[in-house]
Amino acid sequence: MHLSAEECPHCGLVLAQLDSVYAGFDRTVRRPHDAAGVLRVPDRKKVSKWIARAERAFPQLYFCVVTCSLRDDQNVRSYGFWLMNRGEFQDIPESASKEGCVMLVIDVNRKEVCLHVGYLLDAAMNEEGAFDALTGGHPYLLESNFMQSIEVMLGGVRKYVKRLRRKARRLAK
Amino acid sequence: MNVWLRFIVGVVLGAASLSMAAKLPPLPVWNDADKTRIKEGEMVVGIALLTDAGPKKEDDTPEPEQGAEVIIEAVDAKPSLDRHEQLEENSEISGVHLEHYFGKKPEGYLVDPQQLLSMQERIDFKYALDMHMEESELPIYVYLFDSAQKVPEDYVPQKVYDTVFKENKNPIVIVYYYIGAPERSDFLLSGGVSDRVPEWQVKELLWNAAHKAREKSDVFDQLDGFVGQLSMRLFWVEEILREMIVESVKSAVDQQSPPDSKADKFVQMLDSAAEVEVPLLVYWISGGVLLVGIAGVWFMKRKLYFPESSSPCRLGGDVGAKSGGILSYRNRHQAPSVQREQFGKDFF
Repeated sequence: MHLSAEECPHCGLVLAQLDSVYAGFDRTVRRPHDAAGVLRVPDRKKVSKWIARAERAFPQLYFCVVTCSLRDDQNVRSYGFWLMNRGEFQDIPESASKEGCVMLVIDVNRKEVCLHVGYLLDAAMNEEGAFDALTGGHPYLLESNFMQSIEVMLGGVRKYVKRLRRKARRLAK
Repeated sequence: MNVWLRFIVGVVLGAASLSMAAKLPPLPVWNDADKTRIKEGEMVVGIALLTDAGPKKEDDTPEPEQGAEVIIEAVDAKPSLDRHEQLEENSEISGVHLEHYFGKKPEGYLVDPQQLLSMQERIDFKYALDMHMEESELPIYVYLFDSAQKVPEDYVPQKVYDTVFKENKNPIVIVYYYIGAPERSDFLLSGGVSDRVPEWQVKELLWNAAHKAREKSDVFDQLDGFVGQLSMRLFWVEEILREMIVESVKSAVDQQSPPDSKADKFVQMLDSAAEVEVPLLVYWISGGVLLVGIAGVWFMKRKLYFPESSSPCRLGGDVGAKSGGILSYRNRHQAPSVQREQFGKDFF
């Protein structure tokens, strides 16, 4: 896909088409955004603390963990894309850039995970790297141990974001 | 030949006699006055040996005149030179023996001027007392008396301590032991903080020692058992005395120290810490550890920024349009890592 493409060269998809697909989904994004309801209150607090620590280390970014339960005609990648662009994120740090989103979307039905990033991290990111960052949490995800899976994957995400920063700095020179 | 031999022998003997004669004292010589008297016949040589008067003696004193009165003046009684004269078995200690017993501070720990113990017993007993002193700070002065002897009222242990041991400041033990009658023994613990030891404990100590002594039949074994038991029991008395000394020192310090003594203690602690010599290597190591710690904290707390070079918008999204590979488990017979090959095939 061309970096400046207005629509998908394969299917012609644009963001507006997804509004009807995810029309019933809540656009208010809490952090963590537990739409599937698989996290308990202590788990949410843990994830909130992790998010706060990560945002202190990366002042331009804001992080989010989303759990959802998608139908067969929906997809974790398209949902993440839609939510990232249409969502109303709460309590974003003042220093954070609008394009500095890092969002981890988990479909608890199909046990699928996908990492979405904003345009600030776009240039340095590739699919394989993001996939590798999440593989550590896959066994826990298959066992429906969502909290353990999220903890492991967030550790991988943090390291991956650091690598992205180094790569972005090299590319910017 | 014989003539020559006789000559040589004669010369040798003559020389020998001359040398021997040279070593003899000189012969007496008449003085001029005696020579004159002999020549004039006033003095005959050897007449003293030939007459009945015999030779004149130098120490002959003139005989007292007949009728002179001989006056024998009375002299003050002197103490007997025999220090070890033994008194009667049931007598009271008196006269010169009081001086022997209580005249001065004893040089050893055993006071036995009557020599009631034999030489070997005395050696053994002194050794036992010395052994006690090696392990204890509480000396035992043992005064030995015979079984029925009595000590005058003025010489009870407390008075003896006040007079003989008055310069002593540390606690001591004085024991009056009556050979063959351990139950008559008298005991005094005095000096220092010993007056705070409960009286019942002192009595119990004496009773135990006397009871131990009565278990033996031989008098020396009784004495040995008595002192041995006393030495063991005094260990606990020493413990009490130590505790009392510590308490008294603490109370004295508390009284002397002002209310803000905590600050003084803190200052003293800092002073003592400053006086400790720390090797230079320790400074270097601690400085290095501190620097590494500071660097670690800075590294963990540092803020990481991305360069401000964002990509152009795509697919109508304002925030972002890129995602990583979907981590899923579609084929149970296929490992997740193999799925990386499927990227890009079905984006939506």
